[in-house]
Amino acid sequence: MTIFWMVIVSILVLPIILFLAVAFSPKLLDQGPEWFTFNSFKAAADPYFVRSIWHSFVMGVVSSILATAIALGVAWIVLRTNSAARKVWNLAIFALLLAPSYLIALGWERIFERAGVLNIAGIDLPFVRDLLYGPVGIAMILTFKGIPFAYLVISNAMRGLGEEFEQAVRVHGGSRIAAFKMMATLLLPALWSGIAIVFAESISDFGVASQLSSPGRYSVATFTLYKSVMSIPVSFPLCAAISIILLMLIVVALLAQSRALRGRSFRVLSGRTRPITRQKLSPLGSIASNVTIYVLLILTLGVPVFGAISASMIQGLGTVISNYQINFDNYIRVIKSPLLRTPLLFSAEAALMTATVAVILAAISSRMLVSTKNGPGKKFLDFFLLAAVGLPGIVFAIGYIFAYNLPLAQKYGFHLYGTVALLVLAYIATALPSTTRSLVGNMNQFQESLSEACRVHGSNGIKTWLTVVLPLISRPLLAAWCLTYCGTLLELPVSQILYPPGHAPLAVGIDHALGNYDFGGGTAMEVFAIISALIVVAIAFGLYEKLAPLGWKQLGRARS
Amino acid sequence: MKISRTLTLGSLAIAMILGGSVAPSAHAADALQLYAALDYSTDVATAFTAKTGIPVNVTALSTGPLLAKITAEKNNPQWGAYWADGAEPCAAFDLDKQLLHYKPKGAHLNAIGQKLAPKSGAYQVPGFTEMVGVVYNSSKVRKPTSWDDLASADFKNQVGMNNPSVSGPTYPFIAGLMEQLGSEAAMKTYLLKLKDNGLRAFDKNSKTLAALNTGVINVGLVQSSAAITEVVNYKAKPVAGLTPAVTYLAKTTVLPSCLAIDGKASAFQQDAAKKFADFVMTSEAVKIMIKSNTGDSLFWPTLLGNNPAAATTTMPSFTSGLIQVVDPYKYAPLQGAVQDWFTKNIA
Amino acid sequence: MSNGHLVKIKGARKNYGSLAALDGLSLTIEPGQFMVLLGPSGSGKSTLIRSLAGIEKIDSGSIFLDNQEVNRGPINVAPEKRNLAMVFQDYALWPHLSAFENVEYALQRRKLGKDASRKRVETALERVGLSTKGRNYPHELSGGEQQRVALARAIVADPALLLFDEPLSNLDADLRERLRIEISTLTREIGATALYITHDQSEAFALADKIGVINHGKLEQVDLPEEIYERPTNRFVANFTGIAGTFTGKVKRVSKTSCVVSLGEDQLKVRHTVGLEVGQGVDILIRPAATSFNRDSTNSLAATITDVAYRGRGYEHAIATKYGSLTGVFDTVSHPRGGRISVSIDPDRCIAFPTETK
Repeated sequence: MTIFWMVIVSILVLPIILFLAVAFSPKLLDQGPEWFTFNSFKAAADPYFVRSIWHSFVMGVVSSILATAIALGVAWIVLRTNSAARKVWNLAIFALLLAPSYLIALGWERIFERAGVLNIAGIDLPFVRDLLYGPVGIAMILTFKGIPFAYLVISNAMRGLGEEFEQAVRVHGGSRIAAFKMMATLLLPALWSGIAIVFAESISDFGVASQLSSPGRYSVATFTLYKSVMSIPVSFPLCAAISIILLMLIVVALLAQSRALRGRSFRVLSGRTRPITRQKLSPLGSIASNVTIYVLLILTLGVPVFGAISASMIQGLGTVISNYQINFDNYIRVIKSPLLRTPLLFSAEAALMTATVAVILAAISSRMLVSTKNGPGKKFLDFFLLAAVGLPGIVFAIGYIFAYNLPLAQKYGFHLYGTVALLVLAYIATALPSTTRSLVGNMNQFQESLSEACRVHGSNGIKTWLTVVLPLISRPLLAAWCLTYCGTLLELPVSQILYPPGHAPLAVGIDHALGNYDFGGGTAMEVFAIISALIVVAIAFGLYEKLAPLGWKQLGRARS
Repeated sequence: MKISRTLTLGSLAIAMILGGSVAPSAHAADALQLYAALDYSTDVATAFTAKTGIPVNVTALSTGPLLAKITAEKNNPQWGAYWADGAEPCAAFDLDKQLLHYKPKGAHLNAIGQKLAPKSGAYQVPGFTEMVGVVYNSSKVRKPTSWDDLASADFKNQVGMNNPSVSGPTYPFIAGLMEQLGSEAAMKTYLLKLKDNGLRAFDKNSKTLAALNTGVINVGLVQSSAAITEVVNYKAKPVAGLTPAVTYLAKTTVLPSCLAIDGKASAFQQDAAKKFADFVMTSEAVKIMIKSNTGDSLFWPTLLGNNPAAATTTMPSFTSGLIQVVDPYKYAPLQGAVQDWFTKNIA
Repeated sequence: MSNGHLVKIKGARKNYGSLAALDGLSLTIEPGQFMVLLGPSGSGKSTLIRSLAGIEKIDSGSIFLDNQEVNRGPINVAPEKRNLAMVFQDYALWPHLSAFENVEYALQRRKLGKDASRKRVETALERVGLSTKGRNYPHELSGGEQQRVALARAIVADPALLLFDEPLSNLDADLRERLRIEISTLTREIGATALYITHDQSEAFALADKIGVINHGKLEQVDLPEEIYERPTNRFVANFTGIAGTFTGKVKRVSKTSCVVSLGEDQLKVRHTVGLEVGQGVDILIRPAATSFNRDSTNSLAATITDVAYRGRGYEHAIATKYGSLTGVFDTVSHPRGGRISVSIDPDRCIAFPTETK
């Protein structure tokens, strides 16, 4: 346990604390003359910053609630009904997770912008364009971004939830809707995890903000923060002060979560859980559910795909309609280039390590978060895990420099800064929060007596984990692994700041190509990366289906 | 909780072993740490290593993240040399006493080169681009003729520029506006006028050009090298309705590419950085920069006897009277406040 | 001789916040003995059994298994090193393992060969009547079958201590009875010491060699089932081990083991186990077995039949008297509802305790 805490402190807590400390004490890390000051908070209290923080908060609340609600509905259709669309969704979910905010935003822009697709088709909707470049557009895209996160959390929990609770509602005179409500209530821990995760992801999302918030002048905190970090000269104390205010928003989210769940038990996964029977939808319900899923897919996946195509395969779209042509020139060029292959392999390797380690740490952390012992350690962990999601990656990366470039550390031969190891540790720390949260819902359902039974019947703690806990959460673990892999493969801010010279990760390469006016090539690299990740995910799930014992696989499986 | 200890340790061990196996990267101590925002820097570094045997670790990023990294490392700098467009960051470092002053041996500068290089030797200027190249879609709008012209009805909702808070080369453009308009206030009045006329700010050159390509704007105020790249690209693959052309307005500001040496680095780093500076200020290196054929290669050398890439010949020359050189030491201290103002009022 | 553990608990204490789940409890279970702890929910019996298992840790006091101290201060012998097994209230079958694998899992600690181990598992499943269901997963089994698997899992490794945490509470009456018998015989066959907790007194009396009645984290009485029933040492024990009803009155005369209590117009002769004085207010706790419709008795009261229930071997009646109602009054013939009747009370099977002053 001590070691676990040491790891958490060094990869997560220390960088965050050091970065935030600069707000009060710039001199501490040579970022200003004062040892203790509130000046940076005064600067952060500027109406411009306050407004952008408030905007972030609103965006976080709106998108987290919407995304969780939509994900709940989708999870119900996919897991509890015989809707035909469910199989498509299962394939699409990882593609969704992978779609960078940049491509989603780009796709929407390409449709609605001046001289965009609609405009060329003779439809001019300036008010829609204004909406897109404002809070509505940002909230919409953040919601789309959030749906897969919320879905993963909710669906994992729903798989473990027997249907007897719903049946109990029906036989006691409740309608189908009442049964759905009951299920939603039982899923509260997962729903709250979903909301917390999407909230934190939303307020720290940078891609959407950079694409849409600036031209629309609806500033959000991440973008403000990014601008402050990237501005010349940079004021880290100011950035830290803004971050602290941002963190306070997260505290609000955490408090809401713990208040909502206080004192309730949601342990429903046990040896008595039976596979559920899918509801047979009426013809109308079947059509409605299919339409829902497909519309959602078109909105969330079709649009970014369109964005990718328009950017990588079409020359001059948006300017003219007469002579544009679709071709694969960019792809052919990119696939031959060493600028794709080496970074892609490097990033894939780093993502592989990150996913593996992060999932193990996340399993421990999530178990700790749901433990009935409500110690200070649990609250501490909970806070930092959420703080790390809520803080934009760029801030986190700077914190890593502060922590691992300390002259003191180097004096004692601790040369981690500028190594691949540190980059991977930072990836792990970046991934740990969302990975942990994606597992919390499942851990919450796990009945304690199952592992107690192991101990009592002669297994030590390690064997208990390996033979009972891990198998029971094997599918969620696999999903968490894929989530982390995909998230790390295209991670940009941490990669940028911490990559060791000569080992540029893929995202840095893509950013470079895009920055060098090679929009087609950059996007083509992005598409290759996404395809490669989907292949990895497919292999992972394929291996699971092939290799996992029957007993593991049938957990949470529905009878068709 | 023996179990969590075992798992944690095990997984970290895996990470470390794998991490180590991926990158036995040359350690800080035995290679020059070059932080560079210029694409040709890798080619130059390779040639330098071939010539001197000194390895170079290039951290290649755009100016924003590069400066953020340098600032974050301030209490324990890891870089030996810094190389990017724009003199103001170097001037700011110099004012903060962070730079090692050095004069390369045997560098013969042309007239503008002598004007751009600081007498103190705070940094070296091997070449320059200009801010801004006005790139416009000649299929959609006419050629702009002056700064005031951009505020006219013909260019309503047509103009886009980079955000100086994100784009390294853009603050010098604003400094240039202050210089020629006579004051900070006049610059603000002018930009607000453009904003009233529909000026839009994008992150950096590439984003502004993307907006131009997709018809969101029809005039982009970008770095000359970016403007020239745009024209070259569309000449190679013409698209009906998009015919980018470049023009320069009076006055256009010179944007020097600057190489600085870390004053707090180890003796080895400083020594290697000096040798690197010597190398950069040779015709041999300048030829590599041009031959490297990236967007950044479209610059004008400051070393006597070197010709720029053919595509750059449209750039106004030093004698044209169109261009101006501003004093980075005068404008560096204003940078934070001006960018802050820009973010809050224009972007 | 028995190969079961000798279990000794001394002054066990455990608090949850301000609530004392175990309040200095001491208990000894002889090797091979089948001990049942009987108590209401929240009495601390679960905490006790879980502390014995090693899944929870007592705050103070000590626990000995075969004279080895397993739980005191920082010492806490891991559950897997205590050589015991447990049947859980919710069965706790591992859903990803088949019935066979569930049982086999508990045998792994014996490190037998593959064949020997398979034989043992098959025998265990056979003993609980599930030899054909080994390949089924828990969710494919009925509740009774699941608990049988749990039972097979508990006995397969011949542990020295078997712990039962209300194992029958989730089953229907018929199954409970049959499983209870299986638990009783199987446990005694393997010779393990057993601790069984329940809130059901009939289960307790049927299974136990010895019964401990627990309340508020303390043992109220530990004794043979007959003693608990006949001579409860306090009102709580009497109350919790089954009564037909309670009457309130005043002591009129008192002898060494019995007294006469006046209930308004009537008088009843009853037993007492604690010292009483003449004139003192008392509650009379009447066992169901004390009541009958024997008209010859002198110790009797007038009553009205309020309900009658057919129980197969006869009828159980609920009756109302002037001083309160009684349930479970047995007779081989049925008496009609509303009929007037005289109910006689066996003085040996009702006990007077001083009225609690509030």
